Amino acid sequence: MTALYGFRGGIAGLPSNKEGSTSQPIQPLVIPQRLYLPIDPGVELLIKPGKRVLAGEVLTDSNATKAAVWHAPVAGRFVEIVDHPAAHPSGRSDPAMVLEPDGSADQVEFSETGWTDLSVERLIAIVESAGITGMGGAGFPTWLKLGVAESGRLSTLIINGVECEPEISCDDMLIREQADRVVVATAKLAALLQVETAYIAVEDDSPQAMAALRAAKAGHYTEGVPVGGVELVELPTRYPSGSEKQLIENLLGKQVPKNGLPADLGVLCLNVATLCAIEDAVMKGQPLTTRVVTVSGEAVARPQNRWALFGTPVADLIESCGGLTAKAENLVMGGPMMGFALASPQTPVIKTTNCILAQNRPPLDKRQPLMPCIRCGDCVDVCPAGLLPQQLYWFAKSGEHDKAQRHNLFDCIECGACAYVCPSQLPLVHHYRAAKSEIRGQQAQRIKADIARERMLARDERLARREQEAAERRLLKRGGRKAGTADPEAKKAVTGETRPAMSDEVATAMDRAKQLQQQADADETRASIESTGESVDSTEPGQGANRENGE
Amino acid sequence: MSATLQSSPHLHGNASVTRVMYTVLLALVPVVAAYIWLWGSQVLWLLLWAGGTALVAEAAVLVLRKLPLKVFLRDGSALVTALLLALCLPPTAPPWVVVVGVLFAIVVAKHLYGGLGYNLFNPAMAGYLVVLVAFPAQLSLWPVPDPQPYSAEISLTSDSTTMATPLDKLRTNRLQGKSTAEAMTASPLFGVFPNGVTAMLALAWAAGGLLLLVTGTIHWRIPLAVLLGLGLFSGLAGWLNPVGHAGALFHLFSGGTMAAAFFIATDPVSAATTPRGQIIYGLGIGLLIYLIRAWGGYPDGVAFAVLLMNICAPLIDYFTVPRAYGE
Repeated sequence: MTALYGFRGGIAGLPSNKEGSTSQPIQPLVIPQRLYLPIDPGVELLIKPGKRVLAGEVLTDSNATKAAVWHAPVAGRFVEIVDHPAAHPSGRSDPAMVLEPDGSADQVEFSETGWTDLSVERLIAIVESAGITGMGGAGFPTWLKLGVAESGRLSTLIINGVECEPEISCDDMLIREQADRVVVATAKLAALLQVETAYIAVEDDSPQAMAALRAAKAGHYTEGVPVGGVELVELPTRYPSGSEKQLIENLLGKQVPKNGLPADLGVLCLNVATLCAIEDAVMKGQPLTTRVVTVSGEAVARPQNRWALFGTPVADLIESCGGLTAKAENLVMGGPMMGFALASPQTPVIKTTNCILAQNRPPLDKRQPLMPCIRCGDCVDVCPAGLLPQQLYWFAKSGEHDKAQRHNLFDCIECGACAYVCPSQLPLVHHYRAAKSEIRGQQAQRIKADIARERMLARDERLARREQEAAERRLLKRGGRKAGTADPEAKKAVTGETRPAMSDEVATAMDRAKQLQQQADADETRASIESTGESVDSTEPGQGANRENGE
Repeated sequence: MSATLQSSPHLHGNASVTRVMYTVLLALVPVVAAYIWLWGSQVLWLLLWAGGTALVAEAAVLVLRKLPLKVFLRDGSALVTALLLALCLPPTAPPWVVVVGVLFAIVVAKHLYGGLGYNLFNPAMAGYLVVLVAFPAQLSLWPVPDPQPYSAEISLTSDSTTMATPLDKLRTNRLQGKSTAEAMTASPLFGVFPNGVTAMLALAWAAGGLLLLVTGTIHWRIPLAVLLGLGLFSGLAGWLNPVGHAGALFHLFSGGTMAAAFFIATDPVSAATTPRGQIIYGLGIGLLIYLIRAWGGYPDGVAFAVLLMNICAPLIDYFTVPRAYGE
């Protein structure tokens, strides 16, 4: 039994609401009429609209960006590119590829590799070409995460099956149904990455998942598959124990350094669905085009988990779950704590879409009046990031950005624990998000302004240089004129008789003119001192010229 | 589908400010019961005056400030302020004293500073101080309890209907140049504990405080720090100079110590809000209470101590920002 260290803050006893969606197995795919695959900014399309694509065909090339490649989930026609509601908290629309499935099972040839003879380098390449990104949370590119394995710093592998948010049960169900695969893949990956410890962590509110894992481990152990090193850990149900940083703190008793990565502790943490995607890519050569999504919420007729193709509009997904029984006042992608409200039910399922939630409750502020913050500090007790949410609220609200940053605003993981316990029903996370984006905007502005200032300075310098050159040229002319009386050669040089080869000629002429000027000035100075007793500094040729002008 | 997108979390617990306030009111039941047992039901009139004034004043200011009457009148915060203030007064205090105190608390200390959540000072203590300074005579006379816990006490008081509190006695003795030990041996009023009436009230406040702790309405940090601060400094002084100073137990169970520790200092709006800050804040109140009682011009220093630390709260918060995850 692994000893747990616990983690700071958090909430025990959130209403889990997972009974509905876990009461039946994961439902099979339903192929919608149209799929909408988002085109990440900067990526290049490899296929022209109008062409037919096979299942698994690569659609985008993202060499220039860190974005994952997209593959055609099924065979069909790439119809067009449209602006489509994006799976993004802003509710904006972004360009998307429209794919019309044609019902055929045609697919590209997948080349399997297998775990034996696999190098870390090769694994990273496979994961990248399969387009695998984190499927539990923020969708960080998995091949970049695996990159730390090459540095040899890796000591711990954590497979995250901790679904701490209410309603979501897709990872739970995946483990229940594919525990064998999860355990074996964990063991193989751990062996490949040469880590010292490998954990599979689940919450104790999912005893079936744990039982399945135990059975799988025992079964393979007796069969001789080396899964003995995989430690199965059951965590007490406490939100947000599935958050990467909190999970690491809980298991290892160490905190990921501020502004650092789990890799700084030698930890690689992968979501259980991500692990399965890696396994698919390695064992079958299959790219990531589908995932399990929990469809839940009081407005959904039959809450359940379903396999869904990326690009499936949320409306189609809900329809395949029996549709809505009530008006969806609030349609959420993700869980009730950290998910974001959707502007349109046409928004497609993407790689990070673990849950679709249809709530029929009106917005919180319409149900209960917002009260002022009374600084009760309940939010401090639950904040897993160790922040002072009540103080951040004041600073965010009043635009005191420097104070907000001093109070570590950017360490907020937006888990929503503070807002959940707030007796004043304040939308705290909303304020933090707004303040963060304002600060980021200002920083971007500052960088822009800095660039503009540099440009301005460069321009001023250039103009000054040009001015000086012009002045020197003028000086040269006058010097030449003056010198002309004494030296006809110099005059010839500066009056432009040798214009085609200006640069060299000008340089020598200028030297000569300067000497003459200095001599003249010296004479003049002597004269003026003699006459007025005033000391005039006349080493600067320009001054001499000016004085000459004045005469 | 709502026009504006809702922000996460899309789930909310059932905590509410109103619930917090009504829990505090509920926690005052032991105190009111003790008052009634000691002095009869006259305290209820006092509470009625206080509560009525508070609600009327609150409503009037809300109307003037164009704030939602229903929401803020029902939140219970005005009643909490009023009842806390009233329960700092002798049960025989004239109604107009209560009315003046509550008016100042609600109109000036609460709403002129911005209302619920914005007041710099604890409104109940601000109101109490105004009447304490303005009407010292009405506030220093506590009636002799109806069923007397100590029969000996009555012979000590020249007036058969009112008596001085133990803290009053202590101060009078100090001013007369008598030592504490002298005063204690000369009077059965004093022991290690203050007299029965005061100790009983203190226990009633502590019982209410326990309810607040158990229900999670208040956190243990501030009450513990206040009691620790006062206990530590009075204990130290009593140990260093047993002749000149009453001990820790005497101070912990007399005057407004328990009320301050559990009900007054824990007012979240005017208290320090960081975990470490709350400890410093509580210790500061404890120390100040002791300093005022031992050397100040007033027998009890609870209200002054709380208001002084209210002033320090923002500064304390600023210098006690906790370590963030990974720092």
